[in-house]
Amino acid sequence: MLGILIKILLLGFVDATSLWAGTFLLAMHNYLALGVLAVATLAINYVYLSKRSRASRWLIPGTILLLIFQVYPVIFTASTAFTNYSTEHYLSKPEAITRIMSNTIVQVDGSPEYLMTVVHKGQTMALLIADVETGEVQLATSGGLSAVKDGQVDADGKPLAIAGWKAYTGDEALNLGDTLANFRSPMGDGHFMAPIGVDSAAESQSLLKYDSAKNILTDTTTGDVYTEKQGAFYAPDGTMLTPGWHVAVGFQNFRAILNDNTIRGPFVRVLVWTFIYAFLSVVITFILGLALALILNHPRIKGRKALRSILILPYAMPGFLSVLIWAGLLNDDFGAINQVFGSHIPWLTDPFWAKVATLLVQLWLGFPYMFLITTGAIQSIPAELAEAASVDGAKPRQILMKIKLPLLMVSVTPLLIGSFAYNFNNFGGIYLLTGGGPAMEDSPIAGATDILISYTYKLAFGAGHGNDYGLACAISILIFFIVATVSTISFTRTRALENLS
Amino acid sequence: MTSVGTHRAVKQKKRKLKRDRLWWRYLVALIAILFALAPLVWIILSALNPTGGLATVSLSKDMLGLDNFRTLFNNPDYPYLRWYKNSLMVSSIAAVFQVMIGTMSAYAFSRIKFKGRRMSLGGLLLLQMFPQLLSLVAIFLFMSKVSDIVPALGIGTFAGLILVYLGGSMGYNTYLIKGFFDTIPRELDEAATVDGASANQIFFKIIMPLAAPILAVVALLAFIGLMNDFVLASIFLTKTEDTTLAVGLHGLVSGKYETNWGVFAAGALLAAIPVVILFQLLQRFIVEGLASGSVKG
Repeated sequence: MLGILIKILLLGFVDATSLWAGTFLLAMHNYLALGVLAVATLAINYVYLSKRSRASRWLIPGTILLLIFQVYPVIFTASTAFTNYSTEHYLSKPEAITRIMSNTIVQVDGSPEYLMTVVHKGQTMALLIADVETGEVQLATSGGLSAVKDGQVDADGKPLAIAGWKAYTGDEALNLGDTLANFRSPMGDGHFMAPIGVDSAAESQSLLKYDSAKNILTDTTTGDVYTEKQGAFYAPDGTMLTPGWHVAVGFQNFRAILNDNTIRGPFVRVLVWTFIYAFLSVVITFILGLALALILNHPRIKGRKALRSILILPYAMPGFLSVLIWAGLLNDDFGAINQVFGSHIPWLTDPFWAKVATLLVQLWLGFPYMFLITTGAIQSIPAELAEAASVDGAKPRQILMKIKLPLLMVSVTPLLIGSFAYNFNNFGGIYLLTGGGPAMEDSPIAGATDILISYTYKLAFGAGHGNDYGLACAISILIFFIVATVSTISFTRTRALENLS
Repeated sequence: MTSVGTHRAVKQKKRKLKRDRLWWRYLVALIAILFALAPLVWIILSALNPTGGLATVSLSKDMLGLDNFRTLFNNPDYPYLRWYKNSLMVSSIAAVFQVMIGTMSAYAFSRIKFKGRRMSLGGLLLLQMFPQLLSLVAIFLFMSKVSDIVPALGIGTFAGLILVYLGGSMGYNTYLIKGFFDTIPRELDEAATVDGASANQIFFKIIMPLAAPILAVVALLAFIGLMNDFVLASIFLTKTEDTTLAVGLHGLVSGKYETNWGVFAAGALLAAIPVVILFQLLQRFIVEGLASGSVKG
């Protein structure tokens, strides 16, 4: 009975949530998403209410989350890679046109002058405006204008704050910058109430007129015609009207990686370093881990358990903290490494030494892992094999090189491939240590130690430059193919997939 | 013949002598320990160094104190305790749900024969080759759109971040738990079925009690993994007060504030302690799990 009750409650919760989300989607006219939601909700109800479909009941919660947050993003990445989605092309076309029109405004001839006080209610901003001649006060919100009864003005004629709204001081209003400058209160007929500076406002209208049939923007004063090209309107002289909107551009992002000199150079450099970094990270950690395992895994060494607990400390530390700590240790000016050794090595500011630093940190972070897996692999090699070889007269070195190492490699190779794939995308190991830097001359974005994934992150989220989501997605796709190819080839060779079932 | 025999005997004696020399192995152990511990010792010394600078080689009594910890807790610029609370909350909620959902899927894969079972398992494995890290941009753009529709689940919210973390529930954990379920004899549930138990009853009354300790371990490992996440949290939680330890502590040393290594060291130390203790307690399971191919940052 309790089971049924819980089931009904949970199903009710799902249905209610879906209904709630559905109303939002309906209001936004997003019928595709609404349809998907409706089908999904019906399917869930069917699965849990019918007697059949036993397996799906257990799989549905995970599958839904998987579809939304793993499968859909993969599809979204693949499709975004073929668009020009970026800071300049962020909006949809109607949004972009509205924005362009409200950006290019002029005061309407003969409209009255208004003195203005900027007010806010929480995060919502509005303008209080007072007609200079009549002193009549109005409230201009992003929804439109409304008259304020008994509105008061100060000695200069500026309106005083009204109940429910707080006034910004002059300095605060200045700090609002574009938020204020781009504020528009629609008045109908394509007219807006718009601020001029921080003290006054005026009725304004857009310079441009949009002709949806011809898909052109026309400047009403000069008669210039703006035409659409690849998600933006361009003036006759070729200048782009910002913002644009995102459109499909085919293979342009991929072609840019191949042909565009400003992108290809840094991309190839980053790609090569990514391979070197991932490969060397695996090799050096494996060599150190294996050496330690061979040397310390001796039956007469005392305290081997305690030793293991100490040696895995770097592995037990939260990875992001370790890397940040190393960033301090390696600091050029006051880092402990340079102090202890009395050296002046520019660990994080010289391209070569920064690369050495990333590998050094990876060695520290990764050797315990290799130590653990190689120790395990050595211990799982039957002792009889070594004994038999010894009886046959094999020297210890021969036993090691001809018997133990080959057997060990068989069992650890899949793990080494996994480690390569991991380091290929080891974002934290690079970004938290050097931020991808030091900066290189050939690119404002890709630094000397950037690997593909940190380069992608900076392209999409970096500050100080326009963010190119389309290109970032294109590179993500390439990373996927590289890692998938490398892993598939090596895994088929080691036949690790055979165990699947 | 005899000469060869004596030669071999001499050689064996030499070998025995060589084997007796253990000191160099201990020396290697000592160097390895120094290499492993030096950064950790340094972070402890820096945390206790009240001058706010980095610990240097020379040590004196005035260089030990708890000033950094006081600053850490009291400076309103960086709400450390909030970060800590946020991290614990987000990681534990996500870990519990990840394991719950993973367990349900694992049960289906282990116990119920259904069409496309092998294919879904293979598909899951394939999907792991496209980690969330690669679809970061898409997740960000998608969640920005969600923010417009349902602000409570969008960018800047813990609920949104947890949901994204849950997207990975069906991945590696499902494999791990399925592997364990496979070791529980099927005869147990067959007997229960004969006695008239339903699938739900078998799951809750037979499988779950047997698997509880393993599930706890998986949840704790998931928790450690989530505590370590920097990337998703950094694009999701951009406000200083409402962020996690990883993003907050990164801000402390990346020029968002005036870099204060002493305070960072104190914060890093307190953040690391629970994770390191958990890790040491779970050492046995982690080492076992390593052989099955998990890689941790």
